[in-house]
Amino acid sequence: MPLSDEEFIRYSRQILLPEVGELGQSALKRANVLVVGVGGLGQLVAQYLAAAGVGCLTLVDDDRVEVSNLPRQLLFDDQDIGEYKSLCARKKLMKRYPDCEIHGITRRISLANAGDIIIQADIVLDCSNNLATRHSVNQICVQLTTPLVTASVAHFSGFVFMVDLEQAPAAGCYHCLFPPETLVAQNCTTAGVLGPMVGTMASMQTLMAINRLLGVGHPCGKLLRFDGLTFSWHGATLSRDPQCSVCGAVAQG
Amino acid sequence: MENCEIMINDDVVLIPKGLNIAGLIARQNMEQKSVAVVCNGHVVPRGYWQGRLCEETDKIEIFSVVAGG
Repeated sequence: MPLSDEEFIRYSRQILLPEVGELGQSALKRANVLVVGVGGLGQLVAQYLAAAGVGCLTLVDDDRVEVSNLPRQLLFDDQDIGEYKSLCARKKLMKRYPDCEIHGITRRISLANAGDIIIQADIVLDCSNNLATRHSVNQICVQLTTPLVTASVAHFSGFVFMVDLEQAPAAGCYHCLFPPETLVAQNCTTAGVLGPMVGTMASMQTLMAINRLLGVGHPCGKLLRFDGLTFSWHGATLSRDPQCSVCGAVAQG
Repeated sequence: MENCEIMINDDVVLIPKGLNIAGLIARQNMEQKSVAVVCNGHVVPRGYWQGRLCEETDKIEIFSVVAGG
């Protein structure tokens, strides 16, 4: 997909990077990216992706904008309260980035509908706020071998990692690390969160996804944790659980 | 009982030799179902927590799961 003269100028600082170049920018233009959850993480990754020249974005969220979202969900303002986040984000991003094709879905993603939504995507960014959704998204991504970048944040703690059964089968999947019986001690509603914590994790999540879309760097296979009080990043090599009921069969081929 | 010295979340801790990961989590007064474990830079999936014994100089990270977005 060739780039226009306008696109060369607009994306010149990205194209200047040898890791991106004209080919990489074209790859972003061809990319179809699914963002699950348009809350703190999702509304930021959607802005980054649309601004970077990603050709097609699908935003899924059944939540509506609330006043308590506004300190960290910077895409929304007081006039948006009560609107569906997915549709409101779509409207605003389409105005800002008319070359990006954007779809909004107001249903909650579940095992029943995730297949139809995920099969269109080249990569999925999970920005949801609950374990059940995260497990559904993981399961379908593993089945379809669609790369998944999952991030989460609450209190002063953030996680980000990629599930990619094609490029990093030994790293396993979300289920290997956090099985469904996992008790989530903290979410943003119970433990609170600061906007810049969400921003830090959303930036890392988008960077991982863009690396994967460009085929550069080594974004797969490691869990990154950020502590926003000690200002430390902790990296760890992900390991597949040989007993995993989700990725076991897929990873063993 | 013989003890061994390990690191847990950057603190030096003395534990009884032969303690497994599951026992270590209980000893830290943490709930197994709400944490994940990294040992010497590698994630230890939950299925290995009974069998994996702590060894002298192990660097172990135990952390709570967050799911917010």
